Amino acid sequence: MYKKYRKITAIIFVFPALIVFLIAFLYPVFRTGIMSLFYVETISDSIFNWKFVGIDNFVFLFKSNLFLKSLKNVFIIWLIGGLIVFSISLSFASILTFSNMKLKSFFKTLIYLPNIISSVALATMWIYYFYQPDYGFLKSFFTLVGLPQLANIKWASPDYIFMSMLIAYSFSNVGYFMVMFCASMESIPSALYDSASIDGANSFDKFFKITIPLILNAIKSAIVIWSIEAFGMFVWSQIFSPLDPEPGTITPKIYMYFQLFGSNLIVSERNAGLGASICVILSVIALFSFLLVNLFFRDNNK
Amino acid sequence: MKKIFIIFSAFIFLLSCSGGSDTNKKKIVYWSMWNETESQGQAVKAAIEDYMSKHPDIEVEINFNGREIRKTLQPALDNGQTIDFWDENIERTTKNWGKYALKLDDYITNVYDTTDGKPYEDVIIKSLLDLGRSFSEDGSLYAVPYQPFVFLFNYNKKIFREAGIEKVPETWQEFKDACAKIKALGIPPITDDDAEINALLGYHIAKYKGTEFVQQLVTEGLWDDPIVLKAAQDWQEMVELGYVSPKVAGNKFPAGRHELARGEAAMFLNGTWVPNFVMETAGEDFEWGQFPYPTVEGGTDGLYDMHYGSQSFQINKDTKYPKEVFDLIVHLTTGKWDEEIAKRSYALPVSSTTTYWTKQLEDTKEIFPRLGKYYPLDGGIDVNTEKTPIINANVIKLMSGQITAEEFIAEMKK
Repeated sequence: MYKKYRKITAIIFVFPALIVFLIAFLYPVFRTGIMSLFYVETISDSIFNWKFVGIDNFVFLFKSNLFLKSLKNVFIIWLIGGLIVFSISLSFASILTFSNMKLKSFFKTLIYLPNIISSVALATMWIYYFYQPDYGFLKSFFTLVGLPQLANIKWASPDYIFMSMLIAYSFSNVGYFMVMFCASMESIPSALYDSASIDGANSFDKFFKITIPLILNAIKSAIVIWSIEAFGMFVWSQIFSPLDPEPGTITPKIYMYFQLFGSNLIVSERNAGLGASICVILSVIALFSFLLVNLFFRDNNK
Repeated sequence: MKKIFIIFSAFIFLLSCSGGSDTNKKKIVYWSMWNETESQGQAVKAAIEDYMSKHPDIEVEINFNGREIRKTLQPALDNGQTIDFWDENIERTTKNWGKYALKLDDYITNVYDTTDGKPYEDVIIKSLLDLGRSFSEDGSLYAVPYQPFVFLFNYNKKIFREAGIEKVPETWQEFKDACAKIKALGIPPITDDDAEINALLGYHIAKYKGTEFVQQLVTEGLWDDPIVLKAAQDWQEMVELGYVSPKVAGNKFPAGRHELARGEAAMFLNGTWVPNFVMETAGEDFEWGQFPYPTVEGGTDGLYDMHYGSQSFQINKDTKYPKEVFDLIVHLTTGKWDEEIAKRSYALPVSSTTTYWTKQLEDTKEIFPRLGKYYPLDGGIDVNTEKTPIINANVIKLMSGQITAEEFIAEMKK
């Protein structure tokens, strides 16, 4: 009798959360999956107006140079940006954790600072105060040090805008991952380093043979977070190309937005079904990268 | 218990009394394409407040969406939200939201207080009414135009005067001659930014072979057509002669129009909305001028074939108050408020009930009656949205001298 009541009580308590989960998570996922197989003019179109197109949306996407370019862009951001972000944040974390330098907390806060500023504000700052071709920081700096060729580079031009965005985006992420790595490094017992020193290990040996293996779980989590962020990149691309997308900054999410709501400049065709197909592709990529990370980094705790 | 019941009833009674006057009013909900802080938003708001003061039985609720209305309106309408009227570009209202809209053909044949005893359709710029009808599937009118615009060269009259240019150019050769004189002053004649730089090439090809060809070019990929190479070579020559600002390579929207406003370049191909957009940078004393994109030798299209249009008001077909809403729109688009909205936002009036013409756009007064063939934005070069970003990147490279005309064609054929 008591067991029966316990079961009922459990169901009563779980039910609200379950309903919220089903409505807020599973239903949109299911609907998006179904929508990806239809032509849907606008996102709020009645389901009775949807036109079944099978896998046509996916075929269109993989034939679209713009979509393929967007995938290429995020892949490079993920790979090159990831290498930049992780190498800098690991170096900073290591210096701030193990060195005897003063004002460690101050520097930690300073490096983390970009993360408390809105991405919109940060990206705008980069465009208007750093890359601006007349009075931007790069122009002033290279003019000051007597490098006119570098000073004259138009950082927002089609040839450079991808690199400019990649640098700015990477910079804004260093602080977040540095804090993550710092927390993990601080939990490593100092005795390990002391005994390594006695055995004659230098700083590099300690970093690669003690620090890295012992923070592998944190690195694994960081890669998963970075993958989700990089493949879902939207705001930075939107600020670097505020009206309509351009090849140098387009990302899959921007392309999805473009398909959902049409062009900002002209009245163009819209297809929410195509937008849903992009969501499906991004989900598959996220799942695949998660599996890949798990494959490469075996669980340290085992 | 009884006491509590009496107090509660009295409270409900007082509450219903306080709201009583409002419930008798006809409530009209307007979703605006402007932000409240924009001059257009301020002007429309003032016009609506004036209307409400003259019609105490009507209450208008304004919801300022800004250009986000392009994303927010349709889901709201699909979900049955009460929105009596809204505004946006006349092409967008008619093509995208026409199915939600009230047919206005009968309304515009009526005479209203502010139409000088004439039917409403007779006081509104005719070409805009025709344009609105041309966008609808059944040839009916589904939106009322206001704030007309044309897409042409906005220029700095002071620089033109100092360069000794007495007459605005009408042909490509005259245009090049004018550019040479401006260049001699040490000022780059033409500037642009990434947003609509495609127009320089799109208009040029359209002047050679018409906008239908431009649209065919970008949808069917006819990049081998010799006219496309010729148009690109014309612009390559302009770049090589130093007639295009070197800043176009990195100008992000809205940098180009600000370059013009600061007097650092003399011309900018864009809409008549530019003076209002950069008024804070340019200042009231800036001497604005406008002239159409010049004709080209051997071209099919005339001087007054160009992109034009307007913003527009559209009424929900399910509104409870169609007559009242249209009456309000007449109030906004004729007489005093047509003039005030134009005046406060450095735009143009739409009706002949006002003799006012914005000083900064004086040159366009003669252009509206002469408008020829309608061009889509940028001459039609943007109609294939899959290709537009690639065209844009390569037009920027062409206009900044990073690639030649031949390389441009080769890039576009990839």
